[in-house]
Amino acid sequence: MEWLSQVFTGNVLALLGVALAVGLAGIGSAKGVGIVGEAGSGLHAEDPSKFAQIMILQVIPGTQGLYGFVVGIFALVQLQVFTGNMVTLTFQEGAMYLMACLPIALVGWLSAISQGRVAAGAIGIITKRPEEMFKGIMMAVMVEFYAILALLVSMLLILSL
Amino acid sequence: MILPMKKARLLGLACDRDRIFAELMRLGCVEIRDRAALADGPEYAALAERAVTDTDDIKSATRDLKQALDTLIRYVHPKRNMFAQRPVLSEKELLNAQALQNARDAAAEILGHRREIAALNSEEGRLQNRSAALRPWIELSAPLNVSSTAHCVISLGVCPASAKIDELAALMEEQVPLSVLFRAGSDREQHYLMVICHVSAETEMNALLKSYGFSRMQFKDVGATAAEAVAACEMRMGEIEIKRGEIEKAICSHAGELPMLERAIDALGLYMSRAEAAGNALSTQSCFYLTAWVDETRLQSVERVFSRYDCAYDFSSPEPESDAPPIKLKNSKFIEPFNMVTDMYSPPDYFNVDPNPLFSLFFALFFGIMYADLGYGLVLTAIGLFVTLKLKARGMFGQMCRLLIIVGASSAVMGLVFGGFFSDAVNVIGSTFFGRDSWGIPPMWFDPLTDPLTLLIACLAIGTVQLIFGMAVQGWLLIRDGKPWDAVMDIGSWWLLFAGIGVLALGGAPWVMYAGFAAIVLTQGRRSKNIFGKLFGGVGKLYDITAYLSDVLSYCRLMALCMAGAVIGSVFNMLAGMLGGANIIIGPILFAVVFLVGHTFNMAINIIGTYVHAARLQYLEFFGKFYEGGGKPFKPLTIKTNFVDIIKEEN
Repeated sequence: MEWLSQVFTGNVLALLGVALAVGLAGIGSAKGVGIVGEAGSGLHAEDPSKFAQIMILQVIPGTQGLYGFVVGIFALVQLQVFTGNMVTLTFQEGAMYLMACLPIALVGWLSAISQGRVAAGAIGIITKRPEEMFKGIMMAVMVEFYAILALLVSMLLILSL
Repeated sequence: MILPMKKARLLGLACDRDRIFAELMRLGCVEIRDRAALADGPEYAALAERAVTDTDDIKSATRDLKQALDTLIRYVHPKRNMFAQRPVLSEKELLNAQALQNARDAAAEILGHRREIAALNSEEGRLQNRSAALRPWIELSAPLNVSSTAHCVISLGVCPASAKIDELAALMEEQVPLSVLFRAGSDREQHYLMVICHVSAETEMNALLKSYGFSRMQFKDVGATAAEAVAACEMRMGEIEIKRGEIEKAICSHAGELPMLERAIDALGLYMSRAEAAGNALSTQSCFYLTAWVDETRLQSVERVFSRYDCAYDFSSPEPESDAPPIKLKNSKFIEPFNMVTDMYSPPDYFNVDPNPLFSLFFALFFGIMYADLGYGLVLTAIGLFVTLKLKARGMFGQMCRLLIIVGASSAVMGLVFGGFFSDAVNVIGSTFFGRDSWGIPPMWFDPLTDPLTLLIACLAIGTVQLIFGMAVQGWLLIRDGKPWDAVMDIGSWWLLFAGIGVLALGGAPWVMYAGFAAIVLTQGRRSKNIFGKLFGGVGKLYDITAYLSDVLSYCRLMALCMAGAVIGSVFNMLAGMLGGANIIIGPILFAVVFLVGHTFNMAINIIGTYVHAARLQYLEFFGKFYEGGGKPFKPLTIKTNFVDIIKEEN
């Protein structure tokens, strides 16, 4: 069982947190952007002049990935990974980094997918009533709020560690 | 404020109808009401059913002109200058009958050309198919419609690519002596063959061919060899190419008529809206009747038009119970851009209040707090100013640009308050390039990232102020509508409670709060019939305190967006700093690239979120206190043009 204590060091836990924040939020955004892209290319085939509007809707679920990335970078800076000699953490300290990363990892992941669905629905608004497009954007941005809250809590936790 | 409206009724002579509509259109302050609104009386029913004007002709002409314009644009590719001003015409010039006729003739010619091109295209497609079908036979020197003779059976056909043709030829030589096999060619799918045999051997031949999967083909309509037929196809395609070029040139020769077509489309649009408005009047052989909403500030000019004709008319004020006048808002230059925010929700009810002056300051402040950055704010203001002054943006777009100037300025100010200039750019530039760690813009108040709790409390306090203000507006509306006691009981009792909570929080006695509770329990059930209803209604209303609480907490989004923008911006600064510090020569270039791309991205994603959340706080939290939407926007009969501007002629 010695390998267990070798693998689960504080530093590994902290890096696991970074990996989850960047990874899960990135997966969510990739899925969300993908969903809108699929819906959008259908409309684009019908009416190529709507490309700009489709683009705007498509990038909306992309921000969660960025939030995860931001948290990850901040954690790496705190851990002094970029200077070449990473700080040594106890098991508890590492676990706290992991916990700090979880809000944006989980909320970023799932909210990006929900947001993608809302934005894909809003593609229908562009098809039928292009002048109402902004309301579609508003509905999609409503979902974003919770990712912002998660980003903030993750950030504040990491900065306080 | 909501512009007051008057209801007008007009009974006029049919012969004056078109002229009256033309004049009302020029005034642009009269909305003709839908005919359904005035045909409730039985005596009108018969009139309401009859079509008054025939718009089909205008519609089909407009369609032709638009199609011709599209065609012309497709072939000519006119260079459009985004900043160009639209040509200015008088109404008489626009409606010139000769110009309209010329445009329709030109359109007919262009559409004729378009049809010719379509015919050529489909012929070309047919030829392409045909030459593709004949090309495998090109090696065969016999004409393809060659027919059997008295002694020979000649057949053309194909075998699947899997069939072994050499084997077939050998077998033929063995089993059917009087036969010849020509192979015209092969491709991935098939072998193309011609088989000749003596009449006497036909059955054996057929049996053999069948076993190799041979299927016959006939080319009755090809009177030449494949090579000749393909050459003929290609020649014809060449001709088509030239012909099409000529027609395209003919279309392009109409390039100069493009503005004429655009004008004609606008002219027809004008006729169309006039005809549609006329369709909303009730007409008989000799007279017509209409009701309309008139902008009260322009009443005199409308009356002047009516009085010039032989007609009967009157004006009356709208009744709160039975009428729903359309909404037109009139505000100062500073407040007008906020109309956009209200319009996205719903224009106010005519008898409610124009919310724009009430929320515009809050909106600008909220936007500023959430976007708080000196650099970002200045960029927004600069963009808004540039578009407004340089491109002379008008209408909805112009309002958007002016809103951008206002919210940009507000963000810049809040950026100073919180000490943000492209997030922490000054600090990063100092430490990366100048080796100073102490650079930075000192916040006028505090740095949100180091003291988020203060920011949260400030945001909730601002929110409470807006909610109390919203309740005050509701109270004022109640007093205005003659219900001062409702104002005291519905608003006053809650304020008493809030004041009590405030006193308690500051360490005072709880008696004021108890009085507030009592006031709510005693007054909020007053609409119930019996004493139990009154009591339970009042106690139930106490639960509303959770609604107020969640309203206040909702303002924490101000803090969230404020900090999120700054955090993301500082990550881009950090990345740029890492690259920038790496090398003395390309470092600054990399720094600039990452800085520009990163902050542009951050600004773009944040501006949408900030706008939406600033608007949402108005829609749900503030409007929820007093606002009644559902008004229909005022749509006066007016000159609407897409390609030209009409100068007003005095009359």
